[in-house]
Amino acid sequence: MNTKLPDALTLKAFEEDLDALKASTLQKVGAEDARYIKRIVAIQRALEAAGRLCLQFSFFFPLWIIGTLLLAVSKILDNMEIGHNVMHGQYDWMNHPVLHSSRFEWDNACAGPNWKKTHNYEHHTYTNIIGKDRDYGYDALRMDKDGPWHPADLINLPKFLVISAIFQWSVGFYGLESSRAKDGTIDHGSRKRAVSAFLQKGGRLILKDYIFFPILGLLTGSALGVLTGNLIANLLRNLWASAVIFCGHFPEGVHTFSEEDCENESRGQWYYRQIAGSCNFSGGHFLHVMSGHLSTQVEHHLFPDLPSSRYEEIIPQVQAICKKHGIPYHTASFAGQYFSVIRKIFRASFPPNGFFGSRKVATT
Amino acid sequence: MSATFQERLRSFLSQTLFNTPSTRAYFEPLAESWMPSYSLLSPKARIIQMDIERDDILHLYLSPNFMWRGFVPGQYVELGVEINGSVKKRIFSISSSIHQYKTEGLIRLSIQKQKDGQVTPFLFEGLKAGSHVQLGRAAGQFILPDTEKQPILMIAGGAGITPFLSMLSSAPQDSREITLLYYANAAHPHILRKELESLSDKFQVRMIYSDREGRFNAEHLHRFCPDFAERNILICGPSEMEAAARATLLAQGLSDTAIYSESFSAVESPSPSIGLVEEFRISLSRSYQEFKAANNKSILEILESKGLNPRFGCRMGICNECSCKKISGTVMNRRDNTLSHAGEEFIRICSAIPAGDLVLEF
Repeated sequence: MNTKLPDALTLKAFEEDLDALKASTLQKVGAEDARYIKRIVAIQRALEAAGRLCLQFSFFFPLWIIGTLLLAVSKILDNMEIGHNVMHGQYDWMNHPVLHSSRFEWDNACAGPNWKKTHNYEHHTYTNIIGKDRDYGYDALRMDKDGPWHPADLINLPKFLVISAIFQWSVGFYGLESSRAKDGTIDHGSRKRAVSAFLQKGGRLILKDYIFFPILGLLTGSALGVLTGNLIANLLRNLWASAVIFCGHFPEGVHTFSEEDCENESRGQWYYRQIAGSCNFSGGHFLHVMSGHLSTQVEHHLFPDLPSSRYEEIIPQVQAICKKHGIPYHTASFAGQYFSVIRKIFRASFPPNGFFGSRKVATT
Repeated sequence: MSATFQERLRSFLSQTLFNTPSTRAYFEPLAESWMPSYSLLSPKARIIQMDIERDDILHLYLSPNFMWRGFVPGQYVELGVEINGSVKKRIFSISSSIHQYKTEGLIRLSIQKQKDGQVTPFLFEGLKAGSHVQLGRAAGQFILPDTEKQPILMIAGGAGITPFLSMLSSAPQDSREITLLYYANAAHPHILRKELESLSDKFQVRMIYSDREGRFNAEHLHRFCPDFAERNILICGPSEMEAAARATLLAQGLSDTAIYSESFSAVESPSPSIGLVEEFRISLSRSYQEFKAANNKSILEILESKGLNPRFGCRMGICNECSCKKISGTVMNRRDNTLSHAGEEFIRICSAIPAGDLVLEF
């Protein structure tokens, strides 16, 4: 959906309100936030250790189930609440030897430096600008039912399911900017660095989850249990991460923008684009943590470097500011958003004017 | 060779299994949560006693844990404290003797409070005996020269007395001839006076009030230490004092190689003038470059104009791609016109302009 901007005066007032909210929230950031992220990391470390230990004794089947689930939760925490947020620099102010964006690396096939470029820079700067935000469809899916269509788009939905199942590899591969390499808009050196980072990181992951720990499992006669447990834990993390991420920008009703819309945009316009192009899903604290606070996608996009521990508390204030200035604010249940995304991907499988160009596809 | 191979193997394994540069780094958050007195990555020390002298000097007695490797008198350490969730580090000289460390396991830091500073005022009020601080390894080349028996002249200014106290109280009974000239003023009188007086039977200790007798000058040199030409000379004090003393000594015909010095500047109190276009010195620690640059451009633009290629992303202070470590100096954030502190921290160079002389890890 494309959209009309509010007038300049409204945008200026809107910008000032949001700047003030950010300043007053940053004032509060301190020891409490440091304790929070350290606690989450300690929990993640403990879960991973417990999960891998259980899998080492997975000849006893209940331990296979417990171990796999613990490992999956630990991988989700590592990628979502810890990795994504730490690599945004949300906790850089702590000056912590491990939790700093310049050093942090996560348990994911997309190497940290590649992720920081495609996500922190491109996606967060050019959010939902068609043609500039490659996250819009990840170079692979047709998300816009009115855009150009190709017969391969008929398998849009199956493609989405495969991308989700191997999501960490999809993201890792996406970080290589292959479409840019093809059209020559990326320089050779940086492409080479990205490819070697991906191969190195991916290789290490395979070595860890599918070779090293299974071999260790031979000692307790659980090699197969370790191998399958790791595989399922990765699959669960992949499915969950992709569901959360697709719910952030693709539900129906979320706005998209054109490059011309965004030329010389003011900070107010930029804030507007972030809000109109993102959507939240509601839930309890546990859901927020497990989604890495991408459930508070709107707040995260407004202030990507605010510690994730602060997003929940500013939701009512951001909503009030939007209401005051008549800015659309998207939020719904997680299930509702996910269903909406699936429907959008399915609808985008078909050509805009029907197969023979004669029939108009009904729009809602 | 085998050590390098082992190191590489260890680093490969920890990066593969834990995604951290070392296994310790992976487990560090667990240690931090459950054993606050202990860190896997750096030595820690327990605060045994805190004495405050003349309102602005804090004597901090610390008991370092087993990970700490000791010191040579004259060296400094990096003290790390967590202030409102953020780890801040500052460097201080050790002012106690090596004997006290060997017999009681204690070291003393004598810390001067910097008005408007971020860290030192916290040390006075936020620390208490029994709590723990991070303590880096002792470092620094400012130690007694290895020229046996050659007499020494020490010139100290203000808080610059600390390394000399450690050297003097650690020196053996029959050691070489040492003269200490210690400058202070009525507003900030000499610290640890009693301790220095007790050393005066072994060494020549002169406590001089610069507001009455003048700052260090050629006349003082000839009066208090006529044989200066045969001595090694050590200077420690505020940077202007150090520079002035060195100039005086050189003018007296001393060779540069006979002078050892260490100086400090009040890194914590930024006093940049905003609004005026001013030039500051920028030093790059990795590319060994130094140049002057005006404060009307972002640091990113300045580096680019010098033909360097720093990483960048949005160029508007959002994405953090251009994050770069500032080792020292003050910058102003263009987005909200706030000043940074002057210590070590990461900054976004696309939105920071220099507000003082800078050292960047680049």
